[in-house]
Amino acid sequence: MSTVLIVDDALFMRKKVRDALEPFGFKIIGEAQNGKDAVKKFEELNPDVITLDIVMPEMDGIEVLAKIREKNKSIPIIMITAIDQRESMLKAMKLGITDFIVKPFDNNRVVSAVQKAVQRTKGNI
Amino acid sequence: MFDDLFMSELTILARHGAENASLALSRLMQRKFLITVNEVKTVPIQEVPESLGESDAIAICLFTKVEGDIEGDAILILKENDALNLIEILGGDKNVNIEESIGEMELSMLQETANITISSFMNTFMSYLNKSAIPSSPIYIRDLIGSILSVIIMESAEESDNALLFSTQFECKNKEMEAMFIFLPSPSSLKKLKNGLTNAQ
Amino acid sequence: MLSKKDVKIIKVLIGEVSLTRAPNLLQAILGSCVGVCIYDEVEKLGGLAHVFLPSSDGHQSEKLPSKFANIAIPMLRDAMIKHGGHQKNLKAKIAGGANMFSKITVKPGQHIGVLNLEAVKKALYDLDIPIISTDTGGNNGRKVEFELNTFNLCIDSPVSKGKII
Repeated sequence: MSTVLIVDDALFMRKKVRDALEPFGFKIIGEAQNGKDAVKKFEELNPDVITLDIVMPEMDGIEVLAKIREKNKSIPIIMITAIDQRESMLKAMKLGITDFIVKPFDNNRVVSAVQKAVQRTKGNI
Repeated sequence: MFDDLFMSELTILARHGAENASLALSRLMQRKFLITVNEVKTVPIQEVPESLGESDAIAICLFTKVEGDIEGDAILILKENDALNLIEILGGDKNVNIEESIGEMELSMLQETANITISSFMNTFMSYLNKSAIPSSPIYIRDLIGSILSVIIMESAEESDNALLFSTQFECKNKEMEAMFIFLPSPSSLKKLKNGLTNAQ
Repeated sequence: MLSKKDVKIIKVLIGEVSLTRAPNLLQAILGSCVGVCIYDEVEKLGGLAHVFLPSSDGHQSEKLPSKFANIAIPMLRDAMIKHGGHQKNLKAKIAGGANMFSKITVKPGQHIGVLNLEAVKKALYDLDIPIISTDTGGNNGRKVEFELNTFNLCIDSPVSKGKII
């Protein structure tokens, strides 16, 4: 069973992502509500996939992405954010993301992004 | 400072932004949700607190700081009852005691609604201007409308005499809700906005 | 007996200074602003300054100079004297100066409500006007009504209704 770490400052949004993924057999291994917590939980929990919001208190998602990439180049990270702007997307793509989903999302979009991310990693092994 | 051309461009852009915000919120709420921009106007700073009417009524305010190429404050203000309606639509507890303490889930529903609405507006404006502006996580405040607005305009008031108001209407399930979206660009950002629009022609 | 329609409610907007006589009411909605009431009980005359910012230092060509404490309060005092008030009778009541957005610091260090209150107190002290009562600070906005019949300052906020100082 693949494990997912959900990072978003809004409880409501974390629930939405969880509700989308759980029926498809993904295990939500943890949730983080700010950037610092996200980096910490990534290290502790070693998830298979991370979904990451951009706008958060105490370190935004782009910084979190950079911090995680310093330690791990390959873990799939999917941005899920309300910010649909060129600059943020470019920054995230340069640092290395698997997908970029704009909130509010269709559940299918999140499920298929996570499924593809997991398949890709497994294929690499 | 604000000529007719600039104001009409801003209005068109704001309506486009509202359209995108409507689509986004409809998806979030899983039902048709419509935001319309009635008008975009400039108001002398000291009149802002009276601009929603009923300045002594209690309202819910979701405040974000916008940072990037364009900076300023963006605020969504809802009547208390409308905030409860939104919570209900999103599957939350409508009977939450909003006076004493709102629950974390209900709070995040309102914050996420504001985040998505404000981000949609910003995304639309910024893609047109080819610039970037990111709203912060919304801060929730419940207080007298007039008091909230007076504090919000405080920062701009030292430097500018006018504020930009987007008077909007929210509609869902034949229920009309009154909401006000306010964007207060810093004076230098307002100049950039103006130049950006003029040069975009 | 006064009927309600004889009582005029005068809204004092941000940065404005208004003066009136009994039985009228002066009303203001305050956040971090400070409502400064100066009154003369003998002449049944009173005014309200809706102070928005502490000091005009460093600000030029203002359209609304009375938004600053250091200008609004002397302006209100002068208007009181001009309309028959006597310096020796003048008293003050103040309300407001809340810190509603505790998460948003307006200026690093201190919040604007505190700065407004300090500036108001200093201006009143400089003009030798004693402060009779106050309802200041806290995290909530206030609706204040200054009643010229009784010189009561009535205060409503989301957390308390009908306070009188």
